[in-house]
Amino acid sequence: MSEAILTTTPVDTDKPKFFNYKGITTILGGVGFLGLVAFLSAGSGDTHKFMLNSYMYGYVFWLMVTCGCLALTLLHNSIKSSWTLPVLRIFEAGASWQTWAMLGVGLLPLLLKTDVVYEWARPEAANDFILAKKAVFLNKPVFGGVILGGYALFAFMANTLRKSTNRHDKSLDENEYQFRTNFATPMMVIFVSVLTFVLTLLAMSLTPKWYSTIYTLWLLIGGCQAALSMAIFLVARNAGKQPYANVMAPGLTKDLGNMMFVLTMLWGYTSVSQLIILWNGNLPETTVFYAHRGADAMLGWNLIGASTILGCFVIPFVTLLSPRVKRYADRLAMIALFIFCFRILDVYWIIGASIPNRMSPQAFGPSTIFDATGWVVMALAWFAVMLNNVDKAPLLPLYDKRLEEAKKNAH
Amino acid sequence: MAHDWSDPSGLWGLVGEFEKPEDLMKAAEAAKHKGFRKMDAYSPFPIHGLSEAIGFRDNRVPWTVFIFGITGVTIGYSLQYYTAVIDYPMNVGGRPLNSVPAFIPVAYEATILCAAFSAAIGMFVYNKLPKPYHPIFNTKNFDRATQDRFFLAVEAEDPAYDAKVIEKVMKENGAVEVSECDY
Repeated sequence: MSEAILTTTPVDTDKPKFFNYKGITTILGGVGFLGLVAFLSAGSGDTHKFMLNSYMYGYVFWLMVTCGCLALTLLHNSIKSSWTLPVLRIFEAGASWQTWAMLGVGLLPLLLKTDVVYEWARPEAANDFILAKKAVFLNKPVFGGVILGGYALFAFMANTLRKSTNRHDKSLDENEYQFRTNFATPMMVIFVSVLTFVLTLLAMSLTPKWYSTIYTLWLLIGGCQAALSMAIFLVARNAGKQPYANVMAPGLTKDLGNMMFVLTMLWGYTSVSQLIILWNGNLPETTVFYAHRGADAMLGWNLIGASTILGCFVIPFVTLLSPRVKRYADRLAMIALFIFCFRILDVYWIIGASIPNRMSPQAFGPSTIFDATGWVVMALAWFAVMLNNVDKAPLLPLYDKRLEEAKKNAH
Repeated sequence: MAHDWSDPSGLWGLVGEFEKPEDLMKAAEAAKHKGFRKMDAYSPFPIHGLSEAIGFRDNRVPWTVFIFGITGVTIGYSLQYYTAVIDYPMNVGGRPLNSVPAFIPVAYEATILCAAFSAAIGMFVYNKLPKPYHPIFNTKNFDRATQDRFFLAVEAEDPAYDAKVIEKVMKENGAVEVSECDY
């Protein structure tokens, strides 16, 4: 068992292993993503329709990971935390302007073929009393304008912070830290507010007559959980390699584990809050979200929902309570991977079940292959952008030596 | 052998005074390495890793909280189940009598209530509080334990107690003063 104190083990001077996958991910992700976007933007017929609907799942999942990266970058800069330093570069790379540009390109099929996915974009929606009233907000120009405008704003936030950390690395000027704190703190509020509009249009309007005010927060916390667990997995798996070996110590792995624990509790809190409020309200227009997933035709969705209670909350909660898990980098990597896998299922449950025109309504059926294809292509493209970005700056910020000093002073 | 409190005389232990937390940590680890187990450390602020360094390991409070938490959730849920399903069943909006989501808040609150009370009461019981008198306060300079000094005490009841060895360990690790402490 490799305890996070690695002073006694020889330090591996190779680069972290994830860099080995940069080339292949760039090729596969680039070709796959552009090919898929071109097909979905220009194609027609049943295969195109099913693929575009299933694509929504992978798209929203990786959008939420990007949002999680940005939210945690903003949090780090607001509070100047030291525990985020080893994962900061991954967050910065994951939420870079290039990632937002990729997501903007990925939105193209949905802009061009909105009516293939969204009920409110079809001509018959004009005859529906509720949808006709909602048309002021649920229409194509607002859909494209708000989402792309939101992406542009998020890219601006990410780029401003990234430029500042790069400048800080070179100049070691402490004013850069203060600038980022002053910038990131109000931006957190603006980010969550704008994201509410973006996700209402992109994800919640998949079921256009249903609404929940906690929905954005619920998805965002899940996105933060996914982003943090992915980053922790990448760092903890390479804890013996430079530069992470210089900073990995039980105190740090404990802090990282505690943050995963906090997000696990927040996810549980938001999930159960929505369920309790809708259950007690007992109104057909709001309970439809859960009733739909339990309908006879929706085979398998309740099973996924139940498994996420265990996999996204109970098991991580109990496991991360134990200091013995958080003390060891490899154990922390395992629980981070576990959480990330269940994030995939949870977003599938939230988004997949809401997509109206998948090939088959059940959770595991013919449409699963389309869902998985969309998710994998988006994953490759996302990692291609992230890995190319993370290589452009030192993996650990040079301006902040708190972790190195903490490790040197550790006993 | 436990101290006879009717006898006001006798040695309680040996106490080392340190200027730096790093020295206290080193001394605690060295003392543990020498086999001393009945130790305690005192510092003006929490020091990460100090409890491990003196070999302190006591899981009684977490287990008490866990057991009382489980008791709380069981009582909270059972009470609602009994009233809503067995004693006074009532159809509310067509939902099942065993209305799990609606029962969560009360079960959760009962868990927290029992866990929090057991944590506070357990802490007092296991620490044998309130304790109006403790021999450590007889130690020279001990008022600085809440200001700028760090203390390590090895009790005379420790089976491996050897004043010369303890003094040597403490002085080798930076103790500025090592003194005997009486009851």
